[in-house]
Amino acid sequence: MAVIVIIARFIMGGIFLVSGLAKISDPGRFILTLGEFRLFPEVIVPVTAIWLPWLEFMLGLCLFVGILQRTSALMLACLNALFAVAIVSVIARGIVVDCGCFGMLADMFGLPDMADMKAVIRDAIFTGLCMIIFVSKSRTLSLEGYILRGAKRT
Amino acid sequence: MKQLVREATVIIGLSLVIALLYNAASPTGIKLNRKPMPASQESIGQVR
Repeated sequence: MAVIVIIARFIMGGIFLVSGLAKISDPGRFILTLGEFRLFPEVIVPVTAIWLPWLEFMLGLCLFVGILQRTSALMLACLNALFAVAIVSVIARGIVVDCGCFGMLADMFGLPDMADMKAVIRDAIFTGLCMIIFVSKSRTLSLEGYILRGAKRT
Repeated sequence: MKQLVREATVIIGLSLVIALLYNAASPTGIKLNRKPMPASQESIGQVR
């Protein structure tokens, strides 16, 4: 189980670190994408577009290095579930839009970036992986575990 | 549960502060306090 948790942590942490950085470096593009979703009032869109990539980046970093591991896993699971709901709502309303998941990296590396059922399934898998990390109490190869072990020794 | 909420608050608060500071300092940052253009100027702009 510990191995699965470590792999899940590095995968999810890595994905959200990279996707967060990609959105941080191009805020103009992400604000347009969020606007196209037509989910929030226009007043909230700029603040959300500024804040959400940083939240993703921080949660990814926490998972990757293994600090506040369970909380960040739960928050990422909720975030992915929200993304899935947002994409389903866009599909249901018949709006064709980029999902904005990987920002400018989607163009650079040809990553899938459309808000379609594939994106929903991907978000569901991500949610599952995050829930595995949340449920597990494993602290192997994590900064949190290292600190806790050090505290016990002293 | 209490610990989860506390840690989540820390992460949300910290990310919000960093995001706003970075946005204010970045040359590509989004202007949040942009005032709407007066209607008269808007119409002049459209005519031009």
